[in-house]
Amino acid sequence: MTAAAEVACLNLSLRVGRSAGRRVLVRTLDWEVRAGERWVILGPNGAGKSTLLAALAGVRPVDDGSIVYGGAPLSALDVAAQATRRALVTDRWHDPFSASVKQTVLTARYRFGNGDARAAAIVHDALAQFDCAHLAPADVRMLSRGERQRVAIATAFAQETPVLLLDEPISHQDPRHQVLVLDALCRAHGRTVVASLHDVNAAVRLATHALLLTGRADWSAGPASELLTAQHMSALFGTPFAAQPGSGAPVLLHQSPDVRESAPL
Amino acid sequence: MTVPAFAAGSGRGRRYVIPALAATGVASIVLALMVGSVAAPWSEVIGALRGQRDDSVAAIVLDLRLPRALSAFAVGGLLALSGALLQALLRNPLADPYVLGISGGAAVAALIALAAGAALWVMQLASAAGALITLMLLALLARRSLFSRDLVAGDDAASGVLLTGVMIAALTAATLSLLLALAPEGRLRSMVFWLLGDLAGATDKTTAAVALLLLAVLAAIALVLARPLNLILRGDVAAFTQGVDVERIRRVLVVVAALATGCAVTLAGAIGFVGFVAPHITRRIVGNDQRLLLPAAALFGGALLVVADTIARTVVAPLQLPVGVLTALLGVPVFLWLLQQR
Repeated sequence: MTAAAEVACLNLSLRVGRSAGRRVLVRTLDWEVRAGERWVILGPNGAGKSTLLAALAGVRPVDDGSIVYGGAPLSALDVAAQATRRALVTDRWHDPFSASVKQTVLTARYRFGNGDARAAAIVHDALAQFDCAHLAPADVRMLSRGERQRVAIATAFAQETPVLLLDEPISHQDPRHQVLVLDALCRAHGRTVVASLHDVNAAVRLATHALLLTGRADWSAGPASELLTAQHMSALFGTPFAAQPGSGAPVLLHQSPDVRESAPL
Repeated sequence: MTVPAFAAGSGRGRRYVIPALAATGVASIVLALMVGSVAAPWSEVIGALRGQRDDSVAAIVLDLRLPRALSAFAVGGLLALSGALLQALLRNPLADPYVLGISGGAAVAALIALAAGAALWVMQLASAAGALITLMLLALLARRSLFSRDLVAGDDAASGVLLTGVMIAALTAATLSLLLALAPEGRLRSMVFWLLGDLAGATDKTTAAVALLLLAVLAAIALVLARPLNLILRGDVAAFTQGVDVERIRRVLVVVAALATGCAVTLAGAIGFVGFVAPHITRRIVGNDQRLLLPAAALFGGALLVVADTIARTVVAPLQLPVGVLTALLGVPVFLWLLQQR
């Protein structure tokens, strides 16, 4: 392993379930993410995308192998040190008590201590970047899921970490906001992005690299141009994809048979 | 439910909340000193407090009402602090030391000590230990959500903790009933006290002072950890990734909550719902910033119990109601109403 890797997995294995229902999601994953790269994790439901992101964030134990941040094993970094390296966006939010959107984004500034003079400006920028500035005084519990998701992403931005881990960051976004979020992630000046996505065309828009998890413990990693192809996507999801020329990169179209015509009456 | 979002940063009202609640607390205690079978007018109360103990009214005010009012304030404050902490730690606005069975556990331990003929201080120690053990039991049963290395699974299981606590409360209630059924006839009255909670016996000045001191110490510890607790409110995963040592802070605050409950039960038995109602009302006024909510809830809980106890001992005079009956009659509807809002 070279010291240049921002995040690396060495011989990593992840399993879920106990005894009988035990399932190996990922086996011996050796993977390096370098500074400034944008990785998209793709795979069918239950392939282990969220589990891998949770392990990378240190909120879930690994079953074998290790995760390394800039040469230091994650397990050797204390909670505060980890918070300077990475931020995590999940797609589950817990808002049992009311709080304003602004106050919620401010929690990301915890690691900067009490005398954090830049907090207000950073929070304002993060909210504006994700089209949430108008929501600042609103109660987080009153937001739609899409709005709440953008607030969560803004919160991760406000933590100002070199690495951003995002679990399906556009799952609740309308078309305009999907593009807004993806482009904001692309413009995240020098930050390293690791995001799981379900939309292969969103992946094409965001990724410099891709990690494909099959869910049968094997994986492949490499430049987006090599892996985000109709052929690979067809094999990964077990359903046909075809490339159509678009205005920029080719668009991958899902060629599913039309059930409406073949369905028995 | 439209609860006002807490004022961001330097809201104008924020700085006046604590002084206003402290004044409310003092006012509630003065009221408690004035009201009773023998009415003590304002001037006599002030005179007695300034050391003019020349008549029987002054003796009643200083030797009976003052220690009882201070005890009530300490007990209310401790229960409210415990409730506010448990609500934040369990991320459930319905959490309360009584609902979770912690008060019941303390009462069971105290009753066993009482039945064994132990000295008063042993009984008080047993009560505190009972609270701690019950909360440990709860933490053990709910370890998957409270102390799991897999924080994602923990967040998902958090809602089950309250139900576990309710079952523990049912167990302690059954144990208390069993102890009452087995108790000799003559002891019954003094034992019912533990079941309902009553401040009639809390007229010892030293005990009241110690309880107030403990309230101050525990509130100070909680206040130091209020900032990370603000993050724990939003889930273990979020708090951990933002740099909070969730497990360490939860361990400390669980012990603080247990000690507060144990001390309150020692003094006044298992008074219910103060730990739930006081933080809830306070939250509607000051919002959810724990740095403000924890001290505000403690002050409000203290004032609330002083007023409740004053009503309890005067409303059907010359009879005195156990204050726990009053708080339960008030607390249960509020609890059910809040449940409907969810």
